[in-house]
Amino acid sequence: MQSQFILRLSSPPVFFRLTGKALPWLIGASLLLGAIGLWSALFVTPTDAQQGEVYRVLYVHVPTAWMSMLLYVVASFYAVLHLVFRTSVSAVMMRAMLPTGAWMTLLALVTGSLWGKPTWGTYWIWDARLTFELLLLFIYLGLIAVASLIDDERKTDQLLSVFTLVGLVNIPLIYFSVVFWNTLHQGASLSMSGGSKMAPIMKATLFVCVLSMWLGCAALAVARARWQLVDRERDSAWTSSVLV
Amino acid sequence: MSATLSATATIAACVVLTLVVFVIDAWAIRRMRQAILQIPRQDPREDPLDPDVD
Repeated sequence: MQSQFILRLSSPPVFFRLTGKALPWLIGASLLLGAIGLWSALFVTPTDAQQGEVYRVLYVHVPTAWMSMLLYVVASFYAVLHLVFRTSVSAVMMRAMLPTGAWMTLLALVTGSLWGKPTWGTYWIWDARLTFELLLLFIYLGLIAVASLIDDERKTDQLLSVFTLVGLVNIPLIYFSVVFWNTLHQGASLSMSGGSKMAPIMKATLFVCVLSMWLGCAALAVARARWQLVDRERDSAWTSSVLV
Repeated sequence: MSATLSATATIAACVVLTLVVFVIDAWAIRRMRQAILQIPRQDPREDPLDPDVD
């Protein structure tokens, strides 16, 4: 049943139709959760005992940093799907993650830098986590360049899939950099093994902000993928209702 | 007081930057969509190299 649904989704007209229906919901949910998260982050959550008010940057910085990594992992998932099944949908989804992922990485670096000045006394330091995050930005930009430089779409899809999977090695390096190396960057505030150091209301607000950011990024990536799909399937019969 | 003002400015800058990035990315997608829609579709039944087609 589930595999049937996934197989149906890999059909370009089905993907275009279903994502067209899902897109307004994704955008609406992202805006609603974003408004709730922002309101809670600014007016509900208490002031941090150590950092004061400036810690509230966390509600923007952490979601963007997580999205920068998550979008890369999702792009890698589609890269594997593309290498195995060679479908157009997997190729456009992999490509569509890259610009939004690059923006999220840039945002994580800039917001982190703005947070670093009042807390660390500097905008930038060649700390392990910051350096690997900067490397992630370069990987995204490199992949975007590869995607736009080569004319043959099918060959580019293959090359891009392989390059994306090679770059995946950077993601655990970013995530575990605070464990592997002695860095200035703080350790994980939320851990999968439990024992969070955050107050419940802070954790709930962060969760809402992350969810809003994820839905927003998903909406952007899906919107980009739909039109890239129409462009590459321009001569197929199903695009006649979309293109004049 | 100045620490609070500085923190408020930092938070505001981060929020505004995030919103700007989302708007820029959405605008880029909209431009891509317009560019794709402007290229006329080639009807697969028509052969552009057919000398009988004017």
